[in-house]
Amino acid sequence: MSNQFSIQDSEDLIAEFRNINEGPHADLAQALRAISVLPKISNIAMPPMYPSQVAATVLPFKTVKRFGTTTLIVIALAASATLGAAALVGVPEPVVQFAKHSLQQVQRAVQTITNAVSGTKSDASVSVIQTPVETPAEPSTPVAEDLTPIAGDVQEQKPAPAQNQDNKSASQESSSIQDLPKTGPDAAPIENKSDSNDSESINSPASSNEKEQGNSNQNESTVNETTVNETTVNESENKKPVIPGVTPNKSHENNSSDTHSSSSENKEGD
Amino acid sequence: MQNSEPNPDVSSGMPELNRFIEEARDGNDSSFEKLWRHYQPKVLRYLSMFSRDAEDLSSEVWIKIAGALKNFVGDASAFQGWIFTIARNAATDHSRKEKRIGVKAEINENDWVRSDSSLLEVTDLLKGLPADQCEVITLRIVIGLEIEQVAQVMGKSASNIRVLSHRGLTQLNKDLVKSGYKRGGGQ
Repeated sequence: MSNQFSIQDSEDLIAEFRNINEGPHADLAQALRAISVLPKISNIAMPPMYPSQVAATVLPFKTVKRFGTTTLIVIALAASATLGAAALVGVPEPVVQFAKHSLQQVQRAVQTITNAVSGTKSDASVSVIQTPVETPAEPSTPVAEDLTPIAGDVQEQKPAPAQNQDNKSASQESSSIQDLPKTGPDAAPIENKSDSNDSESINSPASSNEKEQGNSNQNESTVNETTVNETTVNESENKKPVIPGVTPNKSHENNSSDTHSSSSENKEGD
Repeated sequence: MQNSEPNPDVSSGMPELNRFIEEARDGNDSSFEKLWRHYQPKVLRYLSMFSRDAEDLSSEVWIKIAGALKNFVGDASAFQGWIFTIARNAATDHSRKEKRIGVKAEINENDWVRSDSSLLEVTDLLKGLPADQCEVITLRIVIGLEIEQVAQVMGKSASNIRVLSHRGLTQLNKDLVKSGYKRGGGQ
């Protein structure tokens, strides 16, 4: 078998390898015949998909793609609303933080859209809410109102030492989250004090950590006080005889508030 | 796919293939199946040179063909080049995916290759060539594409394909001598 041949020899070999049985390239031609053997498919085997099936399956994908953006927005809103509702009932800290974050994202998105549509004129609802957000807060009004009770309840359900840390982290994260409990209708008793905190945070956004800690402690004490008041009000409304050593039938929130108030009392005692 | 059959002449049945392509493009499933029966062995053979999952990969290729056939314009010759362009892209994607996952490049031969020791020996030698030379020889000799079609599939010039063919055959010839391959040996 000759090892050297020209390009033209190669082309001739490729063209005629099926018929070459003798000569210097007979072995190579035989090898090429061997590799040119194709597999035989069985009669049972069918194509994986027919064109008619492809047309039937592609159509829904096109539809989904067309309405994909809308669907995603709806899903995001529904998920954030669900998480907000979960925060009302009482869920772990990371879930609540995620709910806050997602609602913030929605808030910003709505804000951007409404800014683009209606400009940056201030609205009456903005002055009521007084959210010290860096960006104009007028479009975020409905979302902020929805957020308010969630964050307030979450702070009420936390134990006292963890609440300090949470307030710190919340104050470091963003001003909108920090001030959300102050604007809600459920948080009316602490609205005055929190408003003062609001004004401080607005006037000096880069306040020191000590100040924030002090404010958070004040918030904490006011929250505890209000929860104690709420429990007493609930008990008085129920007007059931309280037997010492037996816990009355209360809702989950009342139980949690009781524990918080007792923990705060213990802390004060210490 | 247990048995093997010699490579049918590419040019045979061209008018019939053209008719099948037109009918399949119009949504005729029976014509599409005939096209599949005609081209599937070649697609499988081509893919088996680069991937151990040739059968799965060929299914992906035919699903893509079925989806894009409506937009194909051309005759049977162009259709063959178009099919192997799709197959080549699918094989490239697959090998990238395998590299990303970390799958070994070891190729398991199919049963129909293992059944013929001569075929297995030469196939091993062919796979030992550089990838572009192996692909050129596969497309030209195993599949039976013309130089221009191979150039189109691989995105190279016709003269480049000629050079690659020549280098590949020269190297294959040397490897055959080294391995002691004899005519009819192993069969």
